[in-house]
Amino acid sequence: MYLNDKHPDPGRHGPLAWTEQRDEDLIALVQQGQKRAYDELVRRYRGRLYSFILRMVGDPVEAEELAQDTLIRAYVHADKYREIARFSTWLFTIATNLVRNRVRKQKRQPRMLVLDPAPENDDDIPLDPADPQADPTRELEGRELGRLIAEATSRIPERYRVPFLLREVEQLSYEEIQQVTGLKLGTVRSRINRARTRFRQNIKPLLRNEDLLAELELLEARMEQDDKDD
Amino acid sequence: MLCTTARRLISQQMDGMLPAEKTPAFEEHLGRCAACREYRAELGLGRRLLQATAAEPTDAFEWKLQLRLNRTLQEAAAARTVPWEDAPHGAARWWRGFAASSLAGVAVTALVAVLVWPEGPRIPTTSSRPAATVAAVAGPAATPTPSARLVTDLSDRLPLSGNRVRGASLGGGSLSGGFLGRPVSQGLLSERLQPVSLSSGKLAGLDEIAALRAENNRLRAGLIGLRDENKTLKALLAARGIAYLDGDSQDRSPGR
Repeated sequence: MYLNDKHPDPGRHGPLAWTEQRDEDLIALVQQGQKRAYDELVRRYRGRLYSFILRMVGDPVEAEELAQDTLIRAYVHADKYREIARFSTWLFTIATNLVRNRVRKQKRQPRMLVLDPAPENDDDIPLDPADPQADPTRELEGRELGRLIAEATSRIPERYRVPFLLREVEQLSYEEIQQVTGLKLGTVRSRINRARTRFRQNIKPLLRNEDLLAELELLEARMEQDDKDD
Repeated sequence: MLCTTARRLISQQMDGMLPAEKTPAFEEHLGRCAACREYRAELGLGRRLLQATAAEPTDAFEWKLQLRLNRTLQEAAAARTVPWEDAPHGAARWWRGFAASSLAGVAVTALVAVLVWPEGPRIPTTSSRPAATVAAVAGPAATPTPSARLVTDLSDRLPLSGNRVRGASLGGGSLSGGFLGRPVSQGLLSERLQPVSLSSGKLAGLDEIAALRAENNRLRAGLIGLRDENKTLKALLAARGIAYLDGDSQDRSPGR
């Protein structure tokens, strides 16, 4: 992102490359003014933040904006981070607060529901060339599965959804979720349990669909491959 | 162990938080309860589904972030260059209010001064004029008719166009002429008169200003009358072939 950053890649001068640094070390480098370290943090967290926020707000445009807001705040207030908590905990605390503010604002100003938003102009339509290896049918099924899961998630009440997603997707510990949400430990535990039960009810019809389960296995295999490539 | 208790513990087991002392009873319950085993499998499947269907942001995410971050940093830098932005809210507001009210006061004073102060060059006092001419104009000019007074009162407050109409009789008196550089509606006239009446007696020195203005108007009316009379006399002398000293050309005409 910062092409003319003066600071060199530590991989060329130090023992660790950017990709091998811990989050906490990277944010310490950001505090010292090394913007490339911030780029690495963005690379690591942009997808996680976006996915988490999207499951909270349900709107891709808003989710992208809020994920960007979170990363901007992390940069602007990097000096306020102290290593008493993991960087991910701090970052998701920012994201959760932004999401809460947005949800609160939306409750005060209900919006029009757009059922099928079309792109406003041709520039909004992605022009990525088609991957010859990709199977369009599979792609569609993957999207369909994602949509069904998003719908099932959105039916979990917001107060249960935050700790649930932080635990199931972000794999934060109960203590970290406590720090993010400000809830008591027992409340965190019980909310996660309730959300799991609710989510199970919501996805119950899907669990009998063998095609979708096959799709899940395919998606997991792709994720594993992506991790190896990284 | 009841199924409700076992299901709560399933959740804790998934998070690696199952208390050791409860593990044997829990395992024993799962061994004989197919519904709880299925429940555990479904929760596990739900977790896998959530993790596998994580959405990705668009390719434009990073450059949009870069743009927004740059804008945020620029705004923050700009805010730091305004010294009073750093002041406490109350003090900053007070100073802004003070500055605004001061400016408003200055503006009102300037407006009143523009409306009240007579325009145009000062006319020499009567003592510097020949006694005969003073006597000729003093009578009619001192007591103009109401309409003439209105016009002369306004003349000093309208833009001077240099296109004065002379010789036009207003109100039937010997006083003639006036400003009338451009047509002005009666409504506008009354509008322009208003600030004078509003300010009378309220601002220091206003009475003196009003007296000076009245004197100025009286003298101006006298001058206009004298010029007209001079013109008439010049025509009369020229008709009779009598030489006279022309003040404008400093020449005698018509010839001797």
